[in-house]
Amino acid sequence: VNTTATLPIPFVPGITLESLLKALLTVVILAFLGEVTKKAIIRASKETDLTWILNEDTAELIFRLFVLGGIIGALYALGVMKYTLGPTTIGNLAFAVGFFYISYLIAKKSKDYLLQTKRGPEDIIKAKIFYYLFVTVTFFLALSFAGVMGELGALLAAAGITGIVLGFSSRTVVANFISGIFMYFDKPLQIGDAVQVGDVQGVVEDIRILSTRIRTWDGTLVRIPNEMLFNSNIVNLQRYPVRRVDVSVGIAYAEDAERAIEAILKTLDEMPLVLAEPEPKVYVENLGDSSVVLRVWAWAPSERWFDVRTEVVRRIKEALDREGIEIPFPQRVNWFANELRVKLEDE
Amino acid sequence: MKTFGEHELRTQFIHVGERKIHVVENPDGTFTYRRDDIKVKLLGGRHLWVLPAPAEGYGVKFLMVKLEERLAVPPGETVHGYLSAPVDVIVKAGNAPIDRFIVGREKYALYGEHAIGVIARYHVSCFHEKEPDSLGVIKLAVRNPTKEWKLVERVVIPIRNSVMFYSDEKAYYPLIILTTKEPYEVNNTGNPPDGRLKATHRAEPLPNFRMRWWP
Repeated sequence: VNTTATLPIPFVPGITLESLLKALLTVVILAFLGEVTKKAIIRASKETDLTWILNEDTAELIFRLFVLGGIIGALYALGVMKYTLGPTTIGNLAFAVGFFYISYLIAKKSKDYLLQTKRGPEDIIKAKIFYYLFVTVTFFLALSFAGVMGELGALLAAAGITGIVLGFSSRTVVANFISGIFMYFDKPLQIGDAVQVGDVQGVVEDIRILSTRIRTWDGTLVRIPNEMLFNSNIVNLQRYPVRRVDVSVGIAYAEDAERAIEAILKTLDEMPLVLAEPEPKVYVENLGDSSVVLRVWAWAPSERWFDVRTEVVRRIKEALDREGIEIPFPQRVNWFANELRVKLEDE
Repeated sequence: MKTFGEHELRTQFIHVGERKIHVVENPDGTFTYRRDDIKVKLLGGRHLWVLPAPAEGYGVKFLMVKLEERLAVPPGETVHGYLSAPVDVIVKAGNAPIDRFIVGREKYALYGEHAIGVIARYHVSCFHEKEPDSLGVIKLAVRNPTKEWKLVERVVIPIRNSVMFYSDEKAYYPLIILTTKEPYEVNNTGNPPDGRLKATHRAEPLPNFRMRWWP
């Protein structure tokens, strides 16, 4: 008769030495198997093209799966799992926690994989939506496995006032979330787009589930809640392939406007990124207080708009200087109703 | 004077259109490649390759050649001719590209609508019966398989990653076939316009391009 097998452990009621040994053995064996599998996967990853699935991350995931299985097995061996905790057992809770943890790792890995293979703005959003949906669904499944769904419902119902308070406090979060989903389908902007939202102008860095981040031209990061973004006028500066450069130039009244227009058109024609089609246009826009105002319309590739604009202004100035066409200062001619008398005094 | 092809590494000028490449031998036996502000020190090798490249400019996929005079093609006929064309130039030491530049006039245009068009390299050319005296040449065949006269005002050619051909003095795009069935279809055949020309690399077939906005 093996008397040690049923020897109780001091200060730990219900746990025998045998069950403790079984538990330890379970953890050690499964951890060992996990380590062996991990090494096998890492070895295989160096000899295969299927690195998207056979890689170090997968190996680590499998190792953790084994260890988790070992811990749950050990807890069963110790008899801890049958203890009740409120409406459920520790076993159910442990299984639910393990299930959710593994599901979370799988969701994270799948998202990373999707982002590795496809890097387009739409793919990033799809990957995120998949990740959040997967985690949400598995979270509720885990609650169900834990056997606390019914109790959770009752608890929520009982905490009606708390729920209302929570509801009000989370209104903004929900609104941002819903706006984020609407924006996904509406597609007013995409990651990488140059946009202007209110006073903020820059490049969309990231579209998250609650907010959108914009890197401004001066290198700062602005976080805009999705609800605010959804309700704003969004100007997408590069949605179309071409964008027009508009410049106004004033020339003196004494100058020949036609000659100035020809000089400007010639300058635009010499600029590679001022598109030949649609044709640039230069016309007299206005007879101003101090000058004849010419309006210049030149189309440029959207992604080069800023460079083209600065270049157009510089070259027009040069061209008009070269042609001797005056760009006047503001000036005013004063007429006096009565003859103007000037009195000179001797010093 | 030789422009394209293999050039021995020695102190010399290589003229490519209006551009000039200067190769200088250094006292230590190495060479320096110079073009405008570009400088590359060549630590070995014996030759330099000056090759034509499609006129992608700042990175466009299409070349739009606008004809100075529109072509009216009779039904059932195929006409052959030549267009002048812009080319880029790529300079290689061994397999490594050390410089790329644009020769001639650089201009771009929108092909298509404001909202859904594409930016294309832009060039205006006559339809020549004989090979024009330009650095870059396109041999164009216009097929009209329909039963009606067809007008051609421009040709939009897919050029990204296209093979190019060259003689010592000139660069050639592959034979281009424009078929005037609607929508007009442009085929960059990848074939040399003339069997005596050398290819820049092995040609890979490019998909036919349907001109969405024609003629």
